[in-house]
Amino acid sequence: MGMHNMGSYRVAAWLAALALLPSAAQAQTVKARDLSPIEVDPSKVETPALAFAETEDDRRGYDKYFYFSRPGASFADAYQDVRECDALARGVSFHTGTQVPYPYAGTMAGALGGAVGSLMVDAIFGSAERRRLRRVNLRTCMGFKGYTRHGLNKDLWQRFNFEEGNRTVPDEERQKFLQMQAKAATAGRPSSQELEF
Amino acid sequence: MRTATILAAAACALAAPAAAKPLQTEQFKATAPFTIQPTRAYLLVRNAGTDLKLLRVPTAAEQAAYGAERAEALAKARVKYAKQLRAYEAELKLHNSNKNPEFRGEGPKKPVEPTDANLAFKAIESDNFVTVWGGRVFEGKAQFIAVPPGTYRVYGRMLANATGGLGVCMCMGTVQFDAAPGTITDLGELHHSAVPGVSVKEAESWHGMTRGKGGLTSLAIEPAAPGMAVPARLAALPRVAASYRASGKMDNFFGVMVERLTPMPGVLAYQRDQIIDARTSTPVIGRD
Repeated sequence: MGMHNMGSYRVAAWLAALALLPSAAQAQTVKARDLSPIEVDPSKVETPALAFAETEDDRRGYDKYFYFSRPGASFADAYQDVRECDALARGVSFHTGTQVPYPYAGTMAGALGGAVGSLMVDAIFGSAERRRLRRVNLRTCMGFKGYTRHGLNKDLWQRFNFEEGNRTVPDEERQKFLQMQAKAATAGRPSSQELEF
Repeated sequence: MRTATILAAAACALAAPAAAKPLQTEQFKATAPFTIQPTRAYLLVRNAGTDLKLLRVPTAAEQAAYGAERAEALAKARVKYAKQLRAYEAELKLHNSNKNPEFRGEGPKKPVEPTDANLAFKAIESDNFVTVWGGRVFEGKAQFIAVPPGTYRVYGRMLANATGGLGVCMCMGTVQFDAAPGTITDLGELHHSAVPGVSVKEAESWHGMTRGKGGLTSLAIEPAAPGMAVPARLAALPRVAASYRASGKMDNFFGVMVERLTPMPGVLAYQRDQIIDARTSTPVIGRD
């Protein structure tokens, strides 16, 4: 699921770059992340517009521009799901230090943080590959959680989504978008075709 | 009273766990001499290609050691913060005394108070990863490695270091097993349908499972079974098949692709993203 072959040249590039990368001790420190449930009043979260007249350009962009849906899920569950998948897609740091909150509590104590893992990918393939990796991880994670995926017009998508390449989205902005994504996921059964994960 | 205090302090000192250290492992090449040590555990795995990452579950003593190390780091950070705060306050006073706005500038930045939540300190996992190098073959497609005894989780297949990696983690569902001292634990054979950047072939089905929701993922484990090839040098040595059991979610420490292990009949199943212990048909909630 979500697997893509990248060719042997990338492996060679990776091996060459590995020796040049900073050691664990030099890796950046990032702000700890907390996945304990956040109480949000769904009535105060804007429901994003999802209806649009589909064009050929839109269809070509569905690999990047999409939303998830699981009719019947509560807003709270959907919000927790998108937060977990967002966290998994970002990767975590070895160099931060909170105990693991939900959903990992009791499974493996550890530290959480930001996307330190992206240093490796950036060093070899650039931030475009990191953005692609994020999309793939979101699709895989939400797919396992039983959501369907539906294409969206780019302009509509940009109103409640973000990409992380060279910048990290501030947490307040991130949570606002994730809440809107949860609202979209619970907005009812989409009339558009379900896309492959 | 004084004697009791001294005895209590001595007891605490004796009970204090040693500081955590990276795991000591030794992976053997085909021609490398070795003897089975009673204090070490040995893993045999048939895993052609990519490096396999295992994550050892820290023991209670190791967790205590980590906690102590972390508490010490926090105490040091607080001492440092107190100095920084005093310097900041002095600078701020000087800054505020300057009444000319043209020369005041932005002023000093207040240091952030270290807390347990924001302390920059390594995760306990950082010292507990084991890499079974795919290229270091013992015989055929088998790798053989000595590791500290303990419980290990199958973390993923990847090329990685602490700055990140390339590959796949089984972050959304995996298995774990115990590696006993003085014996070889046979992990069986690993099958991968597609590991990014490494595999060029993609298996569409395996043991009746196809790719997709609830089915075949990028990694599957075939437990050790009679008839599975055993390296000749290991055939006469004490060896047990790994007793796998379902294990909970893990963080994506290396920033790689997120996946989960292919369901294992009688061991591991899923309901949506919930990990199910197939032995009891119950969700995996806590650490085994």
